[in-house]
Amino acid sequence: MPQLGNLALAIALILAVYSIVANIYGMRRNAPDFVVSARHAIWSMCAMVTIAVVVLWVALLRSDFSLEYAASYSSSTLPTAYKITALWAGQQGSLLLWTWLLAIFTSVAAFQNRRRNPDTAPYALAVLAGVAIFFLWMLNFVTRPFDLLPAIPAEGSDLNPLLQNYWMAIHPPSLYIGYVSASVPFAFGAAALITGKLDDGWIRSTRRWAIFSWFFLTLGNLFGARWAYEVLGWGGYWAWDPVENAAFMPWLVMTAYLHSVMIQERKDMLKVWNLSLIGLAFGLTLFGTFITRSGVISSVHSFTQSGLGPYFLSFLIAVTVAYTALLIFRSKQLRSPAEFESYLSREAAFLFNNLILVGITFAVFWGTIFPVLSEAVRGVKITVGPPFFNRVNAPLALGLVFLTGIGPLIAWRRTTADNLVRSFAAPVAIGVATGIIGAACGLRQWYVLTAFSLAAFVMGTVLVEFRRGMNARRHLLAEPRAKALVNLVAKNNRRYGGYVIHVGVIVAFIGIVGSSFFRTEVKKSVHAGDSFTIGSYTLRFLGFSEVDTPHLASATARVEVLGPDGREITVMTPAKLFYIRAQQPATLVAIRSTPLNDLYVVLAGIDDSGQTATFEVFLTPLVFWLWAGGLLMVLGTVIVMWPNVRERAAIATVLSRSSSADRELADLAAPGGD
Amino acid sequence: MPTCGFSVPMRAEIDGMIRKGMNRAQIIAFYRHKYGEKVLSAPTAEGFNLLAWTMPFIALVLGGGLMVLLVGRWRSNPPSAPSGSKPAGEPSSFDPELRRRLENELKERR
Repeated sequence: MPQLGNLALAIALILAVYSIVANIYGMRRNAPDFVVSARHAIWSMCAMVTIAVVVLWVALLRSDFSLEYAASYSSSTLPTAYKITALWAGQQGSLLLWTWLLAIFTSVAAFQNRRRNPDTAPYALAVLAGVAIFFLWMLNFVTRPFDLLPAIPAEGSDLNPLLQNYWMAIHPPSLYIGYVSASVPFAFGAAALITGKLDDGWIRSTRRWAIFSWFFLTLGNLFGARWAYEVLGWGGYWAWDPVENAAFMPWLVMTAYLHSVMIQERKDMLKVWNLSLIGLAFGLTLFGTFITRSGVISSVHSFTQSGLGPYFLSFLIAVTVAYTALLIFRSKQLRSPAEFESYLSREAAFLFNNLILVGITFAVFWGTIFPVLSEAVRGVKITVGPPFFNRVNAPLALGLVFLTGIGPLIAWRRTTADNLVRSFAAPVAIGVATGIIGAACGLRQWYVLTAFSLAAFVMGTVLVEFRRGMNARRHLLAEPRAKALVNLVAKNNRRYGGYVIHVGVIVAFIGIVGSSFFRTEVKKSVHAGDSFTIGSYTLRFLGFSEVDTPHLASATARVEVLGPDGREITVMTPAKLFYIRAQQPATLVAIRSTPLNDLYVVLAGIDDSGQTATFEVFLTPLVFWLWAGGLLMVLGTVIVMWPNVRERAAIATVLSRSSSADRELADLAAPGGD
Repeated sequence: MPTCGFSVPMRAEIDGMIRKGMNRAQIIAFYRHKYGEKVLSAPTAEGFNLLAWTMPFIALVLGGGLMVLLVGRWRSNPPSAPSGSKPAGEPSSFDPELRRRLENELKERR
């Protein structure tokens, strides 16, 4: 079986090389047959990588420990679900997953563009195949997933206990989907540069890909945060670890990109900027893998570390140089007659939005690599941890939140003072009122007050927008309130879906501020029957129960939680686990989440007599809203991505009536072109 | 992390130092002497490390300056016809009937 995997990966590599040759030859020599053949080669490549993935999965599921990978990341007692997720527990498997996703997305892009974008798509597919070649090369020659062990061990060394968790099962695939799907807009951008077709065709053709990528980057980051929160047992969810930063930076850049392309679509400017942003996003996905896998920067996430660094760095440099050269080569054609009327305009808000988002990206990047710089320049190892990132990014975050309120309401081109007052009077009043109420309730930290006021201001702007739209429908079309709301969103899904995403971001921001500023912590050793307090809760330790299985031994504490009135609210069950194969301890955190605060109980230790337990308890206000905001972002993105039936029908009607169908409209009508 | 072999003894050690009456700065100095600068969770605000703190803001100012410069140049471009914000890219075959309806709707919304 493993031989089949090796063979499939070798053929996939050959097919990827062939598809590039065929695509370029077909375009240069005007031989469409070759372009078709290249497309088929891409699909076959995808089939081959799929075979390799299946082979590895089968080996994991059958506990075939002759395979080094299965022996290293699985065991016979590992639950089946985690045998499946073990595919991306190690380096070889992660790269295989990456390659697989890339092959799938390339195939989908090839299918979408089998008739569309005939001038540029073959080049975009060649770029994607070029990226695939790099990964297939790694899998074939550098970090091989199907290597065999000289002697078959009786048992595997099991999956790292930290990874035996639901969130860890879904976090890496989400992040990888986000990472890899960013390659598609990048490839079409590169194709635009290669062919000199520099209008916004590449943006329109890949808008859904960009949103798709952003969506999964969002999910990946949230799932990762959730995993850290539930599993690591330190009461927090984000520690500015290099790998977290590596996941966060592409998200920031994609967010900037999704906003700035709107200016190009509308005003035909910022071409170089948008091409640079998508290049940056793609480069950062490689950079992320580079810093995780190279060990250049130490990270708690480096579950798999090896000498892959130089390969990734070389590829990253090659891509950066080639792409920059293309940008310079086309710089004359990229110049466009930009016009700009006023700083009080939406385009200005978007420019500032981009400035701040890229500024945060740079700050995160700088903090991530600074330890390397310090060691190189001074020879001193230093740590750049959360205090640095929080302090540097906190003011930038406020600016961004402010712009979230301004951007959607301010007019394109320029805004009159009259307009400003009409749009912003109510939201500003809401924001100021929130600040005053906060201060009256005893909030004294200026940052928290400003953050909550700004958040309320943004909520106010969204409210004003929804009200305005609903009222228009109610008056013009005499629709009842609820129907007007549904139709408003359904018929302008991109716009109102975007507002829902904004609300999600703000809600998450409130959660982040609340949980960062007001977390309290208590550590107590207690006998069975004793109690202690945190905030308004009283916790009473009732006793232990122990369970042993061949896979896992556990000791679970029962802790009764009493509210301020002395009544029992719930019984929480934090536990200490011991994974037998891996010979590793772990903790199982108990969390009671309410909109007001999270009670987070960790069983930190048990004394030898088995009578005393040490608990670490965190009371974290508002953290609930971080996850709620994440859900809203998901909902908003679904609304944005929802196919707009009416819009398409209208375009189709226009197309059927006009003989000389405009290319732009044709693109709009085709699937995936919205 | 509760199972961490480093933080658990370290916390006990810090508890001991607090009981001995050492203050925050003294404890930090102790660890800095013992483990080197790496033990601090953020760079100090001195010497080369100042670069860590200032660079993000320098970059932001430079970026902002570049933006203002570009915007200044764009503003000196003569504005195009007031009706269309994207004159060159406007679809040539845009249906006149659709356009009429669009304009009507826009008028109604005002």
